[in-house]
Amino acid sequence: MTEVIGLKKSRLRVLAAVLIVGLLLVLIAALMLRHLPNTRSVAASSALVQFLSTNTDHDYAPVTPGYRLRFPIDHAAHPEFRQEWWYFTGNLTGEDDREFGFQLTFFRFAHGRSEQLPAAGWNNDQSWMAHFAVTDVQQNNFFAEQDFARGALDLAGAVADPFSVWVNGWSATSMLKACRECLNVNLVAEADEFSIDLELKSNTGPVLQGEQGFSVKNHQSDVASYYYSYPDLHSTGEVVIKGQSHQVEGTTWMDREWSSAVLAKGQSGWDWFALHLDDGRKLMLFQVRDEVKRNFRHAVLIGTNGISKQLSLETLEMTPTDFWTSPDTGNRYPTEWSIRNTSEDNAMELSIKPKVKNQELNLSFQYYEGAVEFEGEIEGDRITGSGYMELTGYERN
Amino acid sequence: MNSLDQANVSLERVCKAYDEAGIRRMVLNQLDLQVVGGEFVSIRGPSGSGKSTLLNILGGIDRADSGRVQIGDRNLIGLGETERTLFRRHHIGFVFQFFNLVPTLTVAENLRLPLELCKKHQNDDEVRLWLERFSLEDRSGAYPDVLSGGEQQRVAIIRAAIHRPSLILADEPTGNLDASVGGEVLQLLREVVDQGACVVMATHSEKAAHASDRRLLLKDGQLYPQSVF
Amino acid sequence: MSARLVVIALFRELMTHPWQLVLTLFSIAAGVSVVVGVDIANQAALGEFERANQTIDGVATHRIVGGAIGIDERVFQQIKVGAAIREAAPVVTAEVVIQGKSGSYRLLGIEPLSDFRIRDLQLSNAEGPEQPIPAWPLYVPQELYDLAEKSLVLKSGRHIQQFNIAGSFDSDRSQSASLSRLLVTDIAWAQSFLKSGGRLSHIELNLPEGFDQSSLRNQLPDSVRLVDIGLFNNARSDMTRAFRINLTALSLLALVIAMFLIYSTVSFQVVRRRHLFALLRAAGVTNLELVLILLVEVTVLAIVGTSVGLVLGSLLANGLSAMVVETINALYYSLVAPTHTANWSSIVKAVLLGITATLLASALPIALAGRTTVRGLLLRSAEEKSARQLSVRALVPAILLFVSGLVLLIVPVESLVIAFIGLFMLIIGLAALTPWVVRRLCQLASRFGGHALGLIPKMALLSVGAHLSRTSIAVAALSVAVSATLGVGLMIDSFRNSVEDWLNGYLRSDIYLTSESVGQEFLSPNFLQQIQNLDGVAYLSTGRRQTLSASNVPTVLFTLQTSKNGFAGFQIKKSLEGDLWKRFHSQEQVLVSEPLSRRRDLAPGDEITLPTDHGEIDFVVAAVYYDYSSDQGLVTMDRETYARYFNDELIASAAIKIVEGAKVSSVMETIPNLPAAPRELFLRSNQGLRQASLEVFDQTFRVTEILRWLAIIVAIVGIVSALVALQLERGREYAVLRAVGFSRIQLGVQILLETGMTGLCAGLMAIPMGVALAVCLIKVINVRSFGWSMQTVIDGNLIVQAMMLAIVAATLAGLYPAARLWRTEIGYGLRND
Repeated sequence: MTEVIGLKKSRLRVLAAVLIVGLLLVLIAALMLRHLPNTRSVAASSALVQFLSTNTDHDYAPVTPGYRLRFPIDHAAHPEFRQEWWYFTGNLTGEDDREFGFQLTFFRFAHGRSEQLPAAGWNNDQSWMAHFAVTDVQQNNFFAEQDFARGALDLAGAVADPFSVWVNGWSATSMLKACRECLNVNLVAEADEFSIDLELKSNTGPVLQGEQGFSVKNHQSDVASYYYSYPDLHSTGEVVIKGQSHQVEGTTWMDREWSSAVLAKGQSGWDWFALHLDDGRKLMLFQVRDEVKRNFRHAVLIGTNGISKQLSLETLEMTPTDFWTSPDTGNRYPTEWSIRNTSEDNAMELSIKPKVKNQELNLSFQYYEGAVEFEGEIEGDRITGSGYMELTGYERN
Repeated sequence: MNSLDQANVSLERVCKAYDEAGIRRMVLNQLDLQVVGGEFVSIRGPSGSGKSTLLNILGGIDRADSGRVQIGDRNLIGLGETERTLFRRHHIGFVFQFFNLVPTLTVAENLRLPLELCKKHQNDDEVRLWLERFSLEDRSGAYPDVLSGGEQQRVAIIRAAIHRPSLILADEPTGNLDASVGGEVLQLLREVVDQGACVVMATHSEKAAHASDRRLLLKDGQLYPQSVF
Repeated sequence: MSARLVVIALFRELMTHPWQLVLTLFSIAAGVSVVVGVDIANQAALGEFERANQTIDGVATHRIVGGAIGIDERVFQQIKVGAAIREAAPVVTAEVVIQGKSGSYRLLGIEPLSDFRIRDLQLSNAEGPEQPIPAWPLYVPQELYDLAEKSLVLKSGRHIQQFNIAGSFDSDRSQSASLSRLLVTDIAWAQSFLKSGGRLSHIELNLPEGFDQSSLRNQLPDSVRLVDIGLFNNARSDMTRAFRINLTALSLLALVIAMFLIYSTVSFQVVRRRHLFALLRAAGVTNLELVLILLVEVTVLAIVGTSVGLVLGSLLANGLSAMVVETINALYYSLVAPTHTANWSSIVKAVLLGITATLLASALPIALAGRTTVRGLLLRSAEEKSARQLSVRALVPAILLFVSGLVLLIVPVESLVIAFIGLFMLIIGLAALTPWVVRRLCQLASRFGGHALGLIPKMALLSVGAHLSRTSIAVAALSVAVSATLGVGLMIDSFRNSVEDWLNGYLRSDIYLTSESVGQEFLSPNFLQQIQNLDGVAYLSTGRRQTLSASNVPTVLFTLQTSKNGFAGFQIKKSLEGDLWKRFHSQEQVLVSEPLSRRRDLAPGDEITLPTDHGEIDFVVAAVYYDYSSDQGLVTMDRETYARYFNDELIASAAIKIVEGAKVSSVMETIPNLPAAPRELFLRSNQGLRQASLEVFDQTFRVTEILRWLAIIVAIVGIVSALVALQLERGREYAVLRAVGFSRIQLGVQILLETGMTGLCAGLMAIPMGVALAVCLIKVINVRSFGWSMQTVIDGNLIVQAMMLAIVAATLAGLYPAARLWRTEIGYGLRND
């Protein structure tokens, strides 16, 4: 029977071998599955946001009342303050009455730098960011892009005379030496799908916001910025969208603000409006929303001569009338507003709505900055106009 | 002897030559043979006389150089190797001197092999019947190497006969067995013949030859009736 | 086909010889595993290279590169502000080592505000996003981060700096080994660490299709160039192509040896079952049915064997890929750590290869089985006869194969693949001759030595010849394997000899110093002057090796300042007429090394274009010289010529000739203590450098050695099992001999003699094969792969070793049967047939 027993034994052996091979194959398969590549996350530049959020124990210059703004010197950067911006928003009309809006903003942030390296080259304590957006009203389209630069190697900066502010290839530059108060600049920005090239010319001098440019942001008046505006920059030039060029003309609002703090504790964001009334007057108003206390408000009406007048805040009402939820971010923005002033002086009632629903900038920061139109009454006169609306602090988390 | 038409096996003028060391040797020379169903023929002859060659030709293993080899209604001359194999599968059974059971199949499996090759798959009963008749029922699951020579040869005979071939060829079936066992085997062959097959047996043994119906002698490539000598 | 029982019969038969089955499986598995292992290792190295590039280059399509010391960082401002190219990022990078850790790392100094346009590194801060980043911040791969160390000391040449771990990058891709050798810091810290303030290594750009490159080029200074990253990387991965083809060829050689074994074992199984086949044929099984069943059987074996081979191969790949990557690192460029991921293409390839090879190798034995006749049922000698016929019949195709292989090798094309096909044909041709030669050898030996030898050796000799049908293929496999080891061994030996000779001529100075272990580090002119002024220093040569990107292809430029005597160290292969030193020193002509002259098809008198700081300049090639230091090749230029075209004063290495009588050791001791000596200095004596060079050489061939030994192991197992099988089958024969009166010792001696003789035959066959192989490798394969020519050196020791290997392997095969015979009773052997 030896042969028969041998046969059975060998059959067992073969069975065992087959089992072992099978197990090993399964093991290999498992190992390979483990190595399948993860889906690559497209979350943009988290490093960058961190970089911008990074601050060291650095003392920034305080914003105090009584500072006298100087021109054109204060067009330049104030690196001793924590942040600063040059904010251009404009409503433009093409030759065929086609409406456009644009925003080109240059931001500067100071963040301290290491003392262990010489303060030269890349070891620079300033970072710059620029946001660029164009609204194509007819096509119901909105485009937005951003760019960044370290304040090193003249990659970005702002100088006074002749005035120039730039972040990489995007810039607002005067060709001429500035007169004391006027402002003539050429805005140039080009993104993948859209670009602008506009000549801006001020009709008035700067409007100093708040107390001679000292603009408080809360009731305690301990958060403030230096703030001035050029509310009426006549603009001509070219807007290119997807390769198609449009000759345009319109009005641009420029805001200049620098400070070392933006929001006080408890404040969550702001709603800001810059409105061009069709009678040539301008209206700027904003509220800083407060989670606990009353919202902080400010409103100013600017005459065609550039003389501004603050509105009484006791009687001013700013009420959202409609909301829009962004499909991209899920943020819910109050995009339509009712503005009422019930005092006899400058009585007004305006309803504001965006020219295009989606004008959210989903960039390193999420906010709403869009061209708006409005209609209503001021002191009994019917009034219409265009302008820009900025809504911040609506990020869902 | 019956007429040719009734013959199960009919060889006419069969010739077969081998080349050996450059010399052509006629092994079968104009050989004639007729065997009818139920006939047990024995062929004797000295070693190298061509007995195995003759069996090989009958079994379709070798091809005759010329002549006519008819088994049943088929002429094997002119059949290709594969056709001859398929013919063998159905019509021929072999019994060898060294039994030649498939060592890796059990007794029952060895018996089922020819049946399955003939596409008879429901064959358990038939195999059991044969094993009982040959008193091997208790050996059915065993492998050939544990069987005695006689037992192996009995299995070999069943294997040769089980698919009811028309011709069974036996090459020295008793050559490797002692006398009493040999007798037993011859008796079994006779039983197979009684069932209608014809058997052609090559043997050295006079005693074995005596068990057959007709004894022939292969000499100089021709067959002669034993009675001539 | 009603063949269920036929299949059962054959299968059970197979199972009664499990170890032969295992051998068949082993042969298949061994062949497949080596191929898979090498393939995975190759793919891993290549894939790793690509992955590393992908991560490190990001979406960059182009790169702005400069000369020896990178580019002025102001170029970046021109790109970003002037040319308004948004997708551009500056990089300061260097190869660094981490103190206390092995291997080198790539330090990437990035500017995060532009870098995100190119790369997606996803840096995350250890302290959380709102926390300040420490000074000397370093972002490290997850593995390093997990070690929870607070800081790491980085070294690059003389620079040494403690960096603080600021965070990790790429947390969700932490598995990716392509990042495991990457360190990231801010560009400002990188510049400060590398003392390269104001300079960038390069600028990466993502240019859209159709971008007007020429206008960009016009805006850039002459000293920088715009190169296409794709082309650049292609050129780099092409560099390793020859190396990888060589590995693949070696792995295929293992497969060929395995095929011999498969052939041998399958033949064995066919021969062993001849009787069974005949029985089945007698029962009416047709030949076609038999062949089909055997084909299915072999296919199943192939599948099982291949599966096992895949498992073994992936294990092997683990070890191999580390070695392959290490060698590529040593030879070409710094890569990152290997991954051992089996990819589907390797597996599919291996499965197809395994099954095809098995079926091919089995085709002949199965075809023979298909010719089984019932008549042959009881005749053993028929088989031996057919083997003999086979050995004769194989003679013509074998010679044909041999000759056409030779022709393919001689054809003057540059294709490496064709050379390898030729080489394989040569080997298989020679192997196919083996049975015939072995038979002849045995015949001759027994005819002429028969009387002198005595009975037992003569019997052994005859027996070897007689059992050829069983052993010839195993002998051929052994011959191929032994010849492969001999050939590769002779090649490496010759190579080493050439390198040694070259080093002897080339290294003419007494002391060599460099401050450069990794990264860019330079010797100050001050320091060199101080050395020059030392007592005992006769002459100082200085050198600098750097990679230029000439027309998108990296070219290594070696800048040399030396004396006429030092210049004589160049071993010139071909040169222009006249005074070469004058051409080199005063006429701005350059020398190119042999591999470069082959790669670029440059002969003396041709011109080579180099990107200089004054734009692209053509230099006349004065001579081609032997050089084994780089398989990419070098351009050697006189320092004075260099100074005219490059704004670069840096010196990376120096060689010192000592005045006669002065002591090398005392000068060596003084140098590090010179006032201007850099902090880290590598000093080597002539002897030491020679030694170190040879060590690098040896390391380069370690993978080759491993594969060589794998092939030998496969072959040894093959020969041992084939011979053991044969000997065990002959138990009855030995029993008869015992019965006749042979003593156990006599029989044992006969068995050992017989197997030893088989080994001797295999070894004898292997010598001409091995030498032929070595000559092919040296004269054709190496020249085509690396561009190095070398003298063939046949080392008798290696030949003796190869002979010993064959004989010992085969003799070993006799031990088990001899021992078994010792234990068995005669009667048992006689009965147990």
